[in-house]
This record gives sequence, structure tokens and C-alpha cells, in this order.
Amino acid sequence: MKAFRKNARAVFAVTLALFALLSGYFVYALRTYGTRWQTNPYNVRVQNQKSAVIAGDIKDRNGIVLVTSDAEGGRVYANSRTLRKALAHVTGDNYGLTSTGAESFFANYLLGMDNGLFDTIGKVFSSEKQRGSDVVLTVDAELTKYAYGLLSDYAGGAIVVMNYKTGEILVMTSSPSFDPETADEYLPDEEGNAKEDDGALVNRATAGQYTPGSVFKIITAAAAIRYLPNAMDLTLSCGGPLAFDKQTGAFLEAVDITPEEDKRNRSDPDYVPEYLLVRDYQSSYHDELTLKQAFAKSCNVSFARLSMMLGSDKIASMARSFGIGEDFTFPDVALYSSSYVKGKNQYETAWSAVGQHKDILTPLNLCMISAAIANDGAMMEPKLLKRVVNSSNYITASLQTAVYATPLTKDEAALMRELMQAVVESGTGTAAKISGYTVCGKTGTAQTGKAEDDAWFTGFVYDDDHPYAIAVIVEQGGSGGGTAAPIAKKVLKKAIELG
Amino acid sequence: MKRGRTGGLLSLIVVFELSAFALLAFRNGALDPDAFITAGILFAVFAGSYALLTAAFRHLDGFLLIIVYALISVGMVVQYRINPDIAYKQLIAVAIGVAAMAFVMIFFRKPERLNSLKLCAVVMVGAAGFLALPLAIGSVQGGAKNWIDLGFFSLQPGELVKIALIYALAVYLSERTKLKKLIPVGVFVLCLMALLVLERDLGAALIYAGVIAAMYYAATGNVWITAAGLGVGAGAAALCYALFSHVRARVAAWKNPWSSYYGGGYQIAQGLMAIASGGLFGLGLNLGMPKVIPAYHTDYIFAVICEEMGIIVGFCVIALYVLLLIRGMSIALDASDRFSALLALGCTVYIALQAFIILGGIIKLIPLTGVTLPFVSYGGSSMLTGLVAIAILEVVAAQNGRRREGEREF
Repeated sequence: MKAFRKNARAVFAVTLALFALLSGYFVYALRTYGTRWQTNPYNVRVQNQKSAVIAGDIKDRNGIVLVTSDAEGGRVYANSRTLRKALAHVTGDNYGLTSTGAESFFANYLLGMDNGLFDTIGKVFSSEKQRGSDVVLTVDAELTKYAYGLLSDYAGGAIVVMNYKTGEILVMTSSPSFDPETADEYLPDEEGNAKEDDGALVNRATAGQYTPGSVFKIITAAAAIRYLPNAMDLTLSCGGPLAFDKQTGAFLEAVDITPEEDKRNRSDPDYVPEYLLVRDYQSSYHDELTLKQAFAKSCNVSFARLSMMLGSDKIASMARSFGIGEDFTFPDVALYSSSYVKGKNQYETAWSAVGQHKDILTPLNLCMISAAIANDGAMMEPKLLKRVVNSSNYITASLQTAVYATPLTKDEAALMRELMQAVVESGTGTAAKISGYTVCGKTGTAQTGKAEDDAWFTGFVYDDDHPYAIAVIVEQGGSGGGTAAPIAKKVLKKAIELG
Repeated sequence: MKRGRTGGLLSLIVVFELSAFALLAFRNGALDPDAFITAGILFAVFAGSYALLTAAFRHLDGFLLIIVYALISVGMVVQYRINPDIAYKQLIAVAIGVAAMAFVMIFFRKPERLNSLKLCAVVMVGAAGFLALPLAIGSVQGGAKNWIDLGFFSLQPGELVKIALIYALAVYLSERTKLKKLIPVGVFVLCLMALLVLERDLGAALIYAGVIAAMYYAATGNVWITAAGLGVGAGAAALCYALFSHVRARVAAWKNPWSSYYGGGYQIAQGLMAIASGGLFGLGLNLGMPKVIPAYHTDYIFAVICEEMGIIVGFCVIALYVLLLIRGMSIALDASDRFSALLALGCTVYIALQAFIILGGIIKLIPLTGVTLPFVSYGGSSMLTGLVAIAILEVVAAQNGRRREGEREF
């Protein structure tokens, strides 16, 4: 019986452990996903609550009313159509077409479902129609409208501006956009016909999974600073394109192609390359470069050399610490995953280190990366909810800033700022310069196989009073330095003006 | 646990039942006397059986009984809230179950008398035949063919056969640990598993497998064979995954219920939304929308409890199973002979594991397999089986108590 008792105890320990796991997971899941489950557009209780409750207002950080309710409980949007469209993905719509806007994401507040026990009891005994809470967002409506206007000439794109100290999102705009007031045209009518899905319902800032191009060099450079001794003193030679074996993808050190040859080959339509190549943008090569110069000039060849010194594991580990590949479960924002896929050989690793291969970034994730560099290496959780004010005018919830991760040390962040400052001072991003302020950044020109390249810029104003980080993507906008950097400059300048 | 101390706990059940049924009685404006009558009958069954059994058994584990009655009460409140007609049927099932429990306790006071290979052989053949019945004359419900329709009520052999399984394993494992000697019970066990898979009752198969592994390990302490057995089980599960499209759909729905919302994910998604909508204190009894959740009164009753009574009550339900597990554990560890100890262990593991499987499925910890939440879900077979298992635990507890008293006298 003694042995039996010992075995039986083990059996019971396992069974008890199952229940510990059950309870622990239950708490974890409710904390992490609870609000999302509740405010899901499929939830008929929310739809039901909409008819029983007059939904609260959605306002911007300065009190501008973005959405309110009329006496019957119908939703009324801001007067300006441009403002409505600029903020459409932030406010969301009343039909659950965009499940991540404030209308859906903060439905529990807007519909008063966050009320405590006593409010719930009070509700039972009161016959008048209840009013939900007002939600004040962190966004700046005027700045968002301005930023949205800058994208109007292009096929599409997104702009995100964050306060890098607090994580508050000031601008999150996505183009093309829709008008929430007439969003019902996307719903099927009686014959089942709906407006063609033109991509306007997608929030490109959070769900746009783009090829990053050279903005990814931020991650490779950070990996170099962390893992290579004296990274800042390295000299990287860039005397022409790098050649890789066509079958194995291995680097062929002995093959030497001069810049002139490369230019000739490029212009020759019948040329069949002998090797796999890593080239610089428009075949402009640089001889010897320091890491800082290579970063400022966005030299692919230098970064291909760096990638071989680092190896894909170290780049992957740096990418991971910046949140690339993580499943984000932020309470305020539904952010899709970015990803970094390790190359199978040196050639693939080289391209992955300069943001091509299979790299994917979302604009908001990129903005968080810049913000972390500005904020001494601490990445703040993105925030959209500034305040919740209930129908009796009590503040029931307010901004809770939180550090999401610390990808860099203070010293590493300072070196990265030095690199990013050089981009704007003397590199590819000079168009983002704002006189009187220190602007740091990185451009990107991503080849996607479309007619024009996607233009990227990310960076920040390094200033205690105006701590703004930005990410701009202009689809088929041409070059990052030519298209995205000037837009970033205008938005940051406007942000500084608006305070 | 001393008598009298636990009797007081019955009054807590009265408070819970009265307040809940009072809310339900006034829900339509006019007073519904049936709610109070239902509560009254239910409490009469509890108090009557408790009084009878404490009188008949000096060493009754009253605490265990109270835990079970509390779980039944929570279930009854939800049944009545959903539909009084369901609650009346459940009330009959509770009454029959409690009567069966009392019958088992009173007529099998000495469990060791049942420890006979001959009786065991009869039970094994009977149980296997009984379990095979739905294949011949069964009806399909929810993708599984595991019911027999008897007109007035329907029966789920997979439930009652759990007791036979525990009994047969206890008989064999109490005196034999060599694999060769275990062949008859091994064949029996394999037959049962094969039948369950044929009936596509994979939830039950999972519980059976867990009970078999737990009892075998407790009896032999043989880690390798237990692990090998579980490995074969896992392989069989993988085979089911490859063979049955409904198993693949279940796993896909578990991974992401939202992406297959209109397919297999609907039930899980509805459950999660219901739980999250309830919040900590619930939407209030009768104020939620539980009927949008498939199987709201059977498998998914936990989601309804969380929606209307709050996550806090959900945690209380989980805590009740943990308490039940601890009581069952101490009874099994206190038993003086292997047969009784194995019986108690098997019954405890079966109830705990079944609760874990359905609760874990609802909260998306594990893929969902449709089994009832013991004592809480609607269903006569499940209620009867659960209460018989409690009767077995109580018999062992009473035997332990008598032995302790004897030890003190000498």
C-alpha cells in the first residue's frame, strides 16, 4: 500500500496540475483577450446593447468630437469629409466592417458595458435609456487630417506618428480610406450586391504587411552594434556588386565586378547574369565606408558584408527583440505581425539584411522601432485610449503607459541615433531636415515587383518637448528619400507647430 | 470531517438557491410559483438524502456530498433560467441519481465483497454489449452516434460504462500487476476504446484513456508502460485526426475559432464572447443571451454560468472541482486495501478529468470535445453516473472511518 500511495499521489499531483493550468490560462486569456472577445463584431450582445444604450462620443486628444450620437441613438460623424476619411480607421464604423476601430474596439466603454456592479443593479431599476461613456483618443485630428492629405496624390500608404516617451499614437492614417458616414455601401444590399472591396477598409498602418526595404537596415545595424566588436570603426568595402553562386547561394569572394561593368550590364537588355548579385540602388558604389557612412548612404553591398559577418541568427534575434515576429496583443491596437525569415544561404541572408527577401514590416511596428531608439532603447506599448468619461462625468479609465520591451541598451540606442542622424544630415534622408531640430531617420525604397517602388521613411525628432516618432509608407511612391522623407518632414513640422 | 460541521453548509446552498430562484420567479413581472416549487423539491432531495445518509453512515464524508449538491444547484438554476421544462427533467434525473447513490451506498457497504473475478467477467461482457448498443439502435447527436432513444428519455451508455471500467480495472489491478495476467481486462479496455471511436465519441474516449492510465500507474508504478500506453493513445488520436474530418475541423477551430466562424469555430467563439461579456460579476441572471451559444445547457453550460453569474462564479465552479478532487484524493489515500483505493482513485480521476476536458475546451486551452460538465450539465446519464461514482467514494470513505474507529479501540 505504501508504493500504491506514492503512485496515487503522483497521479493526483498531475490532475491537480491540470486544474492549476486551467485556472492560470483562464486568467491569462481573460486579461489578454477578454476585451477583444467581448467587443468582437460577431458578439450579438454588443449589437443588442446598441439598441438599448445611446453610445458615447469619440473625441480626439484636444476634445474635437469625431463621432457622437443623436437623440435616437444614431451615430453622427464629424462634418468634414476629409477628417472623417483621415480618421476612418481610428474611429471605425458602426457596422463592424472594420473590427479594429474605436467603435468596435472600445465598444465596451461606448456602450457602458464596463459599468461596475452597482451601475448594473441601478440599470435594472431605471427605465430611461442609458448613455454609454465618452472615449477620448490619443490622436490629434487636425494633424491626422493634414497627414492624410499628403498621401492623396499616391496609390496608397500610411502614416503613423507616436509620442516616443508615452507610446501615444497622434496620427494613424491609411489611404485609400472610406467615409464612415456612408460605410453601409460596403454592406450587401437586398440583392446581395455590395460596393466592391477596394482595400479602403484595411488599416494599412496596422494590417499593411509591407516589404521594408532599406528601413530594415536599422535592425541589421543594431545587430552589428551589439554583436560585432568596435562596430563603429569597421570599414566595409563597396567596390561593386557582390556575386553569389547561382546554385548554392554562397558568396564568391574572388569574383570582381567593377561598377562600370555593372552599369553596362544593367543597361544591356540581353545580358544574362552569370551570378546572383547584391547591388546598390541605381548601381552607385562607394569604395570604403564606415558603418555610419554605409548606413547614411544606405549601401546594400556594405550591409550584405555585415550580414555575412553577423549570420542570420543574430539578425533574427535583433529583429525579434524589436517585436518582429511577435504576436502583438496590445489592449488598444490590433497590430498584425511583422516577420523576418532567415535566409537559407548567404545570398538570401544578404538580401534579408537589407529588407528584401521575405522581410515584412507593418508601419506601426516600424514607428515603434524608431520610437524605441529615440527613447533610450525602451519600446513603449502603442496607446490609443487617453481617457474614458462615463455618463456621470467620472473618469473611469485613463492612459496607462507601459514599456512593451527594451530591445536596446541606452548606449546602443545612442549609437543608433548617431547613425540615424547622419542619414538626415548628410545621407539619403536630407529632405527630412527641420531647421532648429535634431531629426534622425532612415529611408527605404522597397522593390515589390510593382511599376514603382514603395517609398519608406521612419525617424523621429529628438527633442524633449516634441518627442515624435514617425513612419511613412507611400505605395509606389518612388524613392524613400525623394517621396517619403519630405512627407515625414511636413508632418513632423506640423506636429511641432501644433505643440 | 465531523458530522454537523458540514450540515451547516447546506444552508449556504439554500441561500444560493432561494436568491437565484427568486430572481427567476419574478423575471416575467408576474410571480412564477413553479420556480419556488422547483427549488423546494430540489432542496428536499438534498436535505432528505443528506439526513438519511448521515443517519445510516457514521463516517459519511458530508463535505463531498455538499460539494456535489452545490454543483447540482448551480446547474439547476441555469436549467430553469434557460427553460423550466428542461429543469423539471433534470430534477427527475437528480432525484433518480440521488436515489441510486443512496441505494449503492446502503446495499454495497462492504466493497471488498464485489472484488470477484466472476462478477467482473459478467460486468465486462455486459458493459461491452451495452456500449455497443448505440451502434445497432442508436441515434446520432452532434456528430457522435452514442445515444439510445428510449422514448421518454434517452440513454448514453458511454457514461454508465465508465463505472464498469473503473470497477473492472480495480478488480484486476488490485491483485495483479504483471501484463500477462491483465490480458482479460486489457481486451475489455481495448473493446471499449474501439467502440467509442466507432461511435465517434472521442471526448469519452479521452476520459477513458485518462482513467486507464491513472489507475494502471497507481497500481503498478510502471512509468514506462504507462508512458508507452499514453504514446499509443496519442498515436491513435493522431490517426483519428488523419481519418475524421470532424476531428480536423475541431482542431482548426481550436487554433483560430474566428477565422472559421461560420464553420467549426462558431461554438467556441460564441462561448468566448459570452464569457468575456459577462465580466467579473456577470450580466445578471436572465440578462444575458445564452441561447446564441450552441449546447448552452449541456456541454457549454460553463459559458452561460460565466456570462450571467460572472467569471467569479466560474472560478467558484472550478474551485468546487478542485475541492472534490482533494476530497476524493484523501479518501483514496486513506483506503486500507488496494481494491477500495483503486475504486476511489478511478472515480475521482474520472470526474476531475471530465471537468477539465470540457472546461479547457470552452476556454480554448485544449481542442473542444463535447462532454458534459459533471453534475452541472443537463443530462440524466451523466448525472446518474456521477452520483454513482460519488456513492463509491462515500462507501470507501465510510469503510475508512470504520477502520479508524476500530484502530482507536484497540
